[in-house]
Amino acid sequence: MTRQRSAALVGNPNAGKSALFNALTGARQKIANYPGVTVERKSGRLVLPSGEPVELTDLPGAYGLHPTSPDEEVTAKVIMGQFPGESAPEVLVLVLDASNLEQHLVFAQEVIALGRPTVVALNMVDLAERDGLVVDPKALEQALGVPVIPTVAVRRRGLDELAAAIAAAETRVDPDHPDHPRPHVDLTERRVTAHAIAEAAIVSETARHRLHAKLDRLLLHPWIGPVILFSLLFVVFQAVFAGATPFADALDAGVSWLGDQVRAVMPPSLARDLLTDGIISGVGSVVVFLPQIVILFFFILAMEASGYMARAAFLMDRMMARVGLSGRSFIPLLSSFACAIPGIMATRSITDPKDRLTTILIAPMMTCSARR
Amino acid sequence: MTLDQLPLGKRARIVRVDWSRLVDEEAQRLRALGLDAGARVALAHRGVFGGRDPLAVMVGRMTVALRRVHAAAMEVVPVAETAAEQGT
Repeated sequence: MTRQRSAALVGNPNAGKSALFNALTGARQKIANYPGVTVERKSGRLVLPSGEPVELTDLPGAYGLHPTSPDEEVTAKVIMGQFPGESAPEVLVLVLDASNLEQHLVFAQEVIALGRPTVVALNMVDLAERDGLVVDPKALEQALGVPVIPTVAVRRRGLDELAAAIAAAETRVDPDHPDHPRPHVDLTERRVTAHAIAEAAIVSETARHRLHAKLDRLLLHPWIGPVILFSLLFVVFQAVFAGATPFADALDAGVSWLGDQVRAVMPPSLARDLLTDGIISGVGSVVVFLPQIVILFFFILAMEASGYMARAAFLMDRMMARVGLSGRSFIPLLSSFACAIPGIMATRSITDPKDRLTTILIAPMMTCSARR
Repeated sequence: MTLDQLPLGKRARIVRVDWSRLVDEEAQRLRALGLDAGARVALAHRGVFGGRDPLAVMVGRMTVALRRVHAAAMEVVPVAETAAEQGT
């Protein structure tokens, strides 16, 4: 009789555990990019290259094995095999965010020091590379004494290698790292070690950030920053309300032309009235707002993608604070000028529950373009 | 000295964080972003309007926006700028 093999994903909150879990198991789980989304035990089946299934558990994010929150307590207990009704996972898959290596290595050391079969998934290497940060997995592997696999969960990169490493780790009989189980290392020492390991593993950091810093100096300048922001907003609203008019007029004309055509072709009847006055003018009156919404969303997406939105939120925070909101409310409220629904959806990035609710309640009061 | 009093551009290390002064969710977010005891930080920008409120704090390779009231919960000590640290 064969026993069900097991592995668990552990790591700091926001290391991409849930994304990696979904990529490995194919199970659906909601992923949001605010920290601490994983609150319950989630498990799924991972199929090893040999075709053998492994039960993979996604543990809540933790900062250490000495729990400070209920989430961390679950994680610590499961790892140690102290959780009621749950056997300790055979393999620990430690998920680290490559661009936040130093911070994540603090917990990583604690997990590796347990001396259990461990595989490190160096996640989000693409984001790190985009930021000009190159991490050497081999150097990290040497420093930590466990296999390190670079992965990009959302692009499904490195998953096969990771599965192979999990398989290999399982067959490894009680690994002995003479210099790794260091039982009583305190937090400060671990931080110092983390810094040293990160320093050694980072091959290069390019100057891409310098350009950002220069741009930020301009965009967040006490005088120039707000001027740029308000002129940008002026351009956006000008484009939305003036730029969309010809398209909206054309659509309006098209709709009434269509109604006239139908009226000319069909004999007067209840069905004709339903078609012209009901369907065509009904749908038409909604479609007319499409140009405005498309233009506004184009600007919002461009600002979001370029990272300017975060700067705008930073600049607006103080003003928003005056009405009891945070700068983060600025984005949803701006979206609400196009339509309140995506605006309300965008409030999920606001961490404070009170701020979020206030923003949701205010969003429908923005003069959305369809209500003008 | 607390983080909100740190001069712009000066490097410092967080020595103590009074988590009880922060809302749970905010505290969790900041911790996940690496703003925790031991982290090395620097102020990049200050806000524009009244009180120059939110602060842009560089932690590791990220820049995080933080309100002054939250920054006031973080005690920092300035660190000497060495050649090795300029790279990070």
